[in-house]
Amino acid sequence: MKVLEMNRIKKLNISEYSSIFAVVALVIFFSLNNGNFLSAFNINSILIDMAPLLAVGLGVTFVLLIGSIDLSIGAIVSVSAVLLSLLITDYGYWAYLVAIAFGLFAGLINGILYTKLKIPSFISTLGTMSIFQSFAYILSKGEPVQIGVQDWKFISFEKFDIGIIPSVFIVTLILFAFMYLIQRKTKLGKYLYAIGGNERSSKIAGINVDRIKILVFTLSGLCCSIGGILLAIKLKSGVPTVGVPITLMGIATVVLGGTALTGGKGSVIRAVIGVTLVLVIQNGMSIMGVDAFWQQIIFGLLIILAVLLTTDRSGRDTIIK
Amino acid sequence: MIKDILFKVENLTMKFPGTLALSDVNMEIKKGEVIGLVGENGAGKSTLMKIIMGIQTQTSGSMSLGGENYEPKDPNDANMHGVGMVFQEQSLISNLTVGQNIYIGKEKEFKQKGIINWRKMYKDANDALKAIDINDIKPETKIKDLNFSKRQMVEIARVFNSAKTGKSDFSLILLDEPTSVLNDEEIKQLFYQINKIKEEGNAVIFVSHRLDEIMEISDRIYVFKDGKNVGDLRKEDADEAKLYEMMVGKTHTGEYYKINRQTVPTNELVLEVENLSLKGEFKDVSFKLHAGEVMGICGVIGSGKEELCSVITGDIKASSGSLKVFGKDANFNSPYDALKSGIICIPKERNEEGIVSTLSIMENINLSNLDGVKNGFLISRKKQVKRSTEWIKKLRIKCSGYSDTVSQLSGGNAQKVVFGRILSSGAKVLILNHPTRGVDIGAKEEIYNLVRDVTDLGYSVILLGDTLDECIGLSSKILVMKDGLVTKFYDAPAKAKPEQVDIVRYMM
Repeated sequence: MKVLEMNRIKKLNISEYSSIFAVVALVIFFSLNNGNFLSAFNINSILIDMAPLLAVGLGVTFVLLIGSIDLSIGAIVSVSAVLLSLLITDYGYWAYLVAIAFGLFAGLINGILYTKLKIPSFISTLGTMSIFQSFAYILSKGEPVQIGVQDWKFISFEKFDIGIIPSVFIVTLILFAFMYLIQRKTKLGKYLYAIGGNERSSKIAGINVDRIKILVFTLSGLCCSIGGILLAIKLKSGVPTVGVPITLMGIATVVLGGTALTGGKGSVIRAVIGVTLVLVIQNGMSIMGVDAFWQQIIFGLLIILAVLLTTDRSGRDTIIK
Repeated sequence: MIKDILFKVENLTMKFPGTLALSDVNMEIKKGEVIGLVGENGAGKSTLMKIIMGIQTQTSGSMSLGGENYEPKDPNDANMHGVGMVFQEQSLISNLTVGQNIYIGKEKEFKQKGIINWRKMYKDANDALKAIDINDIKPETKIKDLNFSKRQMVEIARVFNSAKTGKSDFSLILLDEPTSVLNDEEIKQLFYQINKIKEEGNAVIFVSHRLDEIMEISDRIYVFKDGKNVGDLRKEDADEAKLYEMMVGKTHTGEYYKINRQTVPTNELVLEVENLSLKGEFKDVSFKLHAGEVMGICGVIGSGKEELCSVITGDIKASSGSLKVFGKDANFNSPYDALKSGIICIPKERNEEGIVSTLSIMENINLSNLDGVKNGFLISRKKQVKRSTEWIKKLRIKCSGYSDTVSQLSGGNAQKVVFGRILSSGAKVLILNHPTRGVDIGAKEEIYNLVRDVTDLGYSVILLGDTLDECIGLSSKILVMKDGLVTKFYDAPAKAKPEQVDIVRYMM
């Protein structure tokens, strides 16, 4: 018993530090290989890439903490990006609100389907993924929706950088601060870990588990819509397929950071580490001229390694609920 | 004479952490004998059966079968020796057919060139069913399409068959509460079969809560109490009253349960339950609970007492009836609603329902009342630490600090963490479902003291005791349930506790 306990503690510690070590080691490795890696321009561009992915990752972290999964994240990103681009001409800043409202609504639907109909989140969000993604195609008629030059005034805030930190990243930082506060200092934050650790005990202890789950999925929707908005601003258009790769990337980066797929273990800080790790690798390999397909192979291996380090594979926890 | 003994148990002892499930048990079973086994829940009957079946291994002592040393490695090995058991919880696999279940683990016998000859298996299965006069079950039917009593008959056919095909000449069949789902006709049929295999020289151990059945079918009756074999009666010498007395014992336990500290309940009505029913589980339960009162609910497994608790704590919705808490009508959809009304429970399964083992002691203690540790909108770590250190001290939880995870704690200490949580939850009605289960003696006494402490403070308690003794000792009022109905109310003031023997009579 004691030995088992020790093993578990050891395993946690490895994963706790391994991703941070990996980030530091990779930064040193890439900067030694290429002097441009640590240039202001490159850091700025890494941060711009990080902003939408991290925004999504923050929501994913909460979903994974309660032991669920949200496969519709990418689709919500797509719809939000398309909505912003479509509506900005006629409605200006209101378009932001509509995009965010959609995110909240989509998350709410996910939460209700999951809890009230008692469908596993893997299945319910697989269904809504398909539905939301189709919304994106229908709204955009299957083509990218450009944000015209005349409307750039509504997205001009992206021009302002604080030093080398781009303003889109600051938006994500504010979202991070919000989510971090929830995680550390509110009832919801405490309940995340309790439900992920033992849902049945949490229910008996008097926690309104269904309400918490719905809230978590709604927050996930919010984070995705912000991610979608940031992507639309970056690309100056609403591409209906923009979220497709985000589905896997969003979940993989969070897991890579050390948040367990089984629930109860993790943190939004780990999402930051995971996203940083992936984008440093991506950017570094691109700078070194590694072939894009090989990048995918390395990325795949990394995910397997991360799960190997973080999950307790004794068989009692099932990964997907 | 020695030759006539089929199965022998010598000085069998089984220790679990904190409890002695069996201590120095001796038994002798002759060929062609039916043995009845009676005792309260937790008396050690099931443990003994599990050891005979090779599911658990005894701490010390030995068994012999047909004069040879008997050490089963697992149930299959036990079957090979001619020992089979019908389990209390049915052990059939519901998405397989009757035939597949009868021969589960023995498919090898039907293998031809690597492929199973299903037709032969079903033919043999049919013979196995016929052997105990079952003609209305087709071996190709899936178990899930059968009702419970039919399933039980299949289970019995499987066990009889596997014990017969073992390598020994005579079999030993264990039946753990086999009649609980059978109707009278089926029970008659079962008894006929038992008598038939007995004629063939096989032996049977029959466990039941129904003493009338035990006395009808058994040749001899062993009585268990607290893991000890306290008696061995021939059928002719046994009567119900005698058995009750032996099962329950006559120990005086006043001091142990702090009866001198028992509170006299006030007149303040806390909980009013009227005609509460849950379809298929219990019916028309009514009672009143006052501040400072401990109401014990007695009943055997299946009496509906567990389900009654689940309904009062909001875990299951009642099918009819009303519940009033502090004079207000309550309709709970979840334990969350119950807690808002002031009811919380200590669940029976501590690890699965009571604690979140991945979290710290502090986080567990605060889980049911985070509003109480807030500063404005935000949760204050300082207040969390303060509250949890208070409870750690008050309940004497053995740990290195509030940040220890609960998975590191012993059963008793983990249970105290659960107590810390429910006592800081703000609820004034506590449902304690086996609060001393798997807890060592020292912690047990502390829990008894705690029950007295909280009732002094005006809390009300509904108690499902781990033993009858405990239930009587702690309660100031006792509700007895049988088959989903309330059969008796007892007042149990400190000076005039009801007799166990009388209560048991209403339980069975």
